[in-house]
Amino acid sequence: MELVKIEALLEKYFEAETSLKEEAILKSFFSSDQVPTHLEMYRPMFAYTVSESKLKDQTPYRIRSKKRLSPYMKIAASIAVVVSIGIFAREYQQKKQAEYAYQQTMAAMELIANQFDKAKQSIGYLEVYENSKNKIFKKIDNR
Amino acid sequence: MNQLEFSNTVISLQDKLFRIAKRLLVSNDEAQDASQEILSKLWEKRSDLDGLRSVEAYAITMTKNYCLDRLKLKEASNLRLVHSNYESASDHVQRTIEHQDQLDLIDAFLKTLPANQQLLFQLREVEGMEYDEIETILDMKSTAIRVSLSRIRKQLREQLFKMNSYGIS
Repeated sequence: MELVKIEALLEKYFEAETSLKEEAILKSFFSSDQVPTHLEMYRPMFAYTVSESKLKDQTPYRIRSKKRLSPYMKIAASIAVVVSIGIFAREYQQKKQAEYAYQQTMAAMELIANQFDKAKQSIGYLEVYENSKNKIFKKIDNR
Repeated sequence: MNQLEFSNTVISLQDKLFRIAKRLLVSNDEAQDASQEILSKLWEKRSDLDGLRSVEAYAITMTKNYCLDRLKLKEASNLRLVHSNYESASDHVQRTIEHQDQLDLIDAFLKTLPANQQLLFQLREVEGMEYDEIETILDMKSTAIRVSLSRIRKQLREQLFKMNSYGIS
């Protein structure tokens, strides 16, 4: 490309009268190593547009199609939810009942244990009675 | 539009939509969110896309509106972007080091422009789109587009000229 033509194109370029094709010519001319010094200052203008056009989005887009549940699946899912709640509730009730029974049993055992303690104390009295009885009987025997 | 057609026509636009969003929102993460969001919306509307004259123009317009909404929201909540914070070196591996200063200068200059002009720059200079496509996306007349583009190019030239002659940015 002759220099005169490039200079004429540049003139047109700054008036925004160049076509895309002519602008492509300028871009390729200014990225070559034949740019004379008096045109060197224009080089960054074209280098900039070329480098900018190479920018890429680093996260590729992926289509995420939302799969819709079929009506039957929806019904099945709601039944499953209801049933599992029912099972859970029943199990909870049973657990509660078992706990109640356990507590009742414990209370009964405690009652028995208390009575036992009392009985043991009474045995203590019996012992005193026995001792006194022995003393008396010993005295009688020694006579 | 079925899944295969969608992949071929819409998902192939992802990088372009990302670049456009990045031009306006600056932050890499936000631009990624934008492109994912727009593609999801398009996927939901895939049955309407067949009737469109240009899916690309439609997608870009959606991206534009999305980004402008985001920017408005940010302005309303007084969260101002600090542009320089978002510039990450990994974005521009292909840039040669000798030109880095000048390319940064161009970046900085473009960020001072109103959103519509940034978009115009992106669509014509970076994406290489025809004027009639840009007209529909930006909802501007072709003469207005050319006047605006010419101004941007000349301003850019001036910036580079200043930098060259004084060595300042």
